Amino acid sequence: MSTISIIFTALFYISLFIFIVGMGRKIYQFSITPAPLKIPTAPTPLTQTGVVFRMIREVTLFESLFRSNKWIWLFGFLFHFGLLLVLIRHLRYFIPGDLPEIFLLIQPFKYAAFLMVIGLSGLLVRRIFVPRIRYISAPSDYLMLLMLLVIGISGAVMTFTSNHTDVIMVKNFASGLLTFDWSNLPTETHFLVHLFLVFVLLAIFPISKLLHVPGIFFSPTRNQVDNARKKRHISAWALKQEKEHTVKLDQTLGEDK
Amino acid sequence: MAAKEFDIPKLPTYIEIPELKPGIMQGEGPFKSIDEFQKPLGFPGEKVDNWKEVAIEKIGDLKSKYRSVQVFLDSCVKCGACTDKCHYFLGSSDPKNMPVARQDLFRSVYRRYFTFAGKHFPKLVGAKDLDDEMIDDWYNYFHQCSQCRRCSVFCPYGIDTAEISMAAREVLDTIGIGQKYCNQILGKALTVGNNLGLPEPALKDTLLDLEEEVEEDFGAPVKYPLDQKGAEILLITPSADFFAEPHIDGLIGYGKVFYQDGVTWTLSSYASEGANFGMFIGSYDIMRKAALRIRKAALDL
Ligand code: HEM
Ligand code: HEM
Ligand code: SF4
Ligand code: SF4
Repeated sequence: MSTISIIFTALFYISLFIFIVGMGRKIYQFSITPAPLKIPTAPTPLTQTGVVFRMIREVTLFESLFRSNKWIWLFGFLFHFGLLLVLIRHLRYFIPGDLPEIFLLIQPFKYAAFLMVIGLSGLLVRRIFVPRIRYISAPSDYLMLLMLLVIGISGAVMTFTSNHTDVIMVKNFASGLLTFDWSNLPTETHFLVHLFLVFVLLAIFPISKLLHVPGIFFSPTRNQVDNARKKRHISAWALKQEKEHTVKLDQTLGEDK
Repeated sequence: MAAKEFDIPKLPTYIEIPELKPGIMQGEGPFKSIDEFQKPLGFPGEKVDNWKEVAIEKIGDLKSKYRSVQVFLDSCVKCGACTDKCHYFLGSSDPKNMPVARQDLFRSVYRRYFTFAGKHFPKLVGAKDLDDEMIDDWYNYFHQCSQCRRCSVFCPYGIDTAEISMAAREVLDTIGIGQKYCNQILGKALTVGNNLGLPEPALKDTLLDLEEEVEEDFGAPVKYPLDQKGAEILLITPSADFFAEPHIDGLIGYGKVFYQDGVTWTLSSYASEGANFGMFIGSYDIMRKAALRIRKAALDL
């Protein structure tokens, strides 16, 4: 194997490792942290089924975002929907051998790259030109969008211009990563840039705002059932305090120890 | 009689989003609490010497106790959807009153001391040190949030600035920077029984006056009982009902309904307050104490 292939193979495993361990730890942290207060926001679902539907609407349609800002919704939706199609299309590199029929249906959607790039550009333009959004942006917020743009554009360059890369070789490389049957990868610069930034993306996932992906599922204002009066809601630490009478009424004045 | 002419501002069909005027609401914030009101609640009377360490430890404690705080601090993508949703921003134009910017006062500190990116690349991710200036901003801007939770409705992840404001106020109380209004009132609620500090005789007097007034106006002997043992219903109402217009009309109304229904009911002088200020200062324990008072009153009666 060429040196560059070895480096990229190593980078893949390193970034994947950071991703899995980092996300695992974050999701664990989110899940063990109790939610002592009942705080679903209106319109609140009254049943667990209602919560599931609310969550599905939030994740697939960005319902709340649609209510609050049509432009952000439009660009955000284009970007995420494009990203989803692109990612599904990418599975063909990782699944060894012939693809199941169903993926062939997705293959024509290579134009999803444009949805993604248009969405990202829209978000970037807003970030730069809307004073309110510029005010709340840190350098990392711009960089994140730029990075995704470069990934998208470098991908599109391979797909839509004559700078095609050897996709059979990519397939061997990528599926080899998963089956531990390593092989060389193509070395066109735009492909290497594409790949390198994807690794960076994986590695920063657990330490950046990309935590919105697990975050939305754990958000107490969105995942709670509005049944505070039907069922007692109390967190483990509050129950413990109660059992041990740590918070005493007759000690209203004075420090509780 | 012709109604008096008022100059009522027109409500536009679409809210106009003001231009940013940074720092326009910069200031000292509300009156600070003093020893006398802080101590009884178990908070230090003045800013403690090692406030920075205490504050950071408290932030760590809170984010491990409240999933909301942890998830909200991590999840915001700075999309900007909430920026025009807070009435304090719409009314004041101060960008730090935009919900996400308000949270960022807290988030930038969280990032600086608790996250990899913030510890090593603070500039990149907008992480900031917890210094005097920051604490002043906390005190000022976290007290310009009414915890109404409007912003939460509009955030794609339901990020609720009220939860962050509560956490920030608890941190502030813990290092000895309390807000006078809330903490003084809590002291009264927990000793006298209501936020106004109306003692039993005053309450009794008010209710007797009310009975007379209602009898005069409506000709029915509507009673406003206090501390009546064995009553079927214990009414807990915000103490504004005892003196303020038009709140008192609410109390008058309750009495009439009970009178009409023929049920026995009572108010309690031990717990004559329905408004729990424990929430405003973000303290679960004090909130609980205030609620326990009501429970005790109910059991005693
Ligand atoms: C469960 C799946 C996901 C959901 C529900 C979701 C939802 C959202 C929503 C509602 C926004 C705010 C609107 C916007 O600015 O677009 C957003 C922003 C963003 N999302 Fe996601 N997302 C998901 C997955 C991902 C993934 C896998 C990535 C990784 C590349 C990603 C990257 C981003 C970025 C970079 C932003 C910020 C855009 C900006 O700067 O304005 N999202 N996401
Ligand atoms: C290890 C992971 C990845 C590999 C090996 C890879 C490889 C490739 C290759 C070889 C192409 C060109 C396809 C062609 O010539 O027809 C491509 C296109 C593209 N890639 Fe990736 N990519 C990876 C991950 C990603 C990720 C995570 C994103 C999005 C954030 C992305 C976005 C795109 C886009 C938008 C295109 C163009 C449209 C398309 O062909 O679907 N890639 N990628
Ligand atoms: S709407 Fe939510 S995610 Fe977007 S900037 Fe505001 S708090 Fe952050
Ligand atoms: S909860 Fe606070 S920040 Fe959010 S809209 Fe209400 S007052 Fe503004």
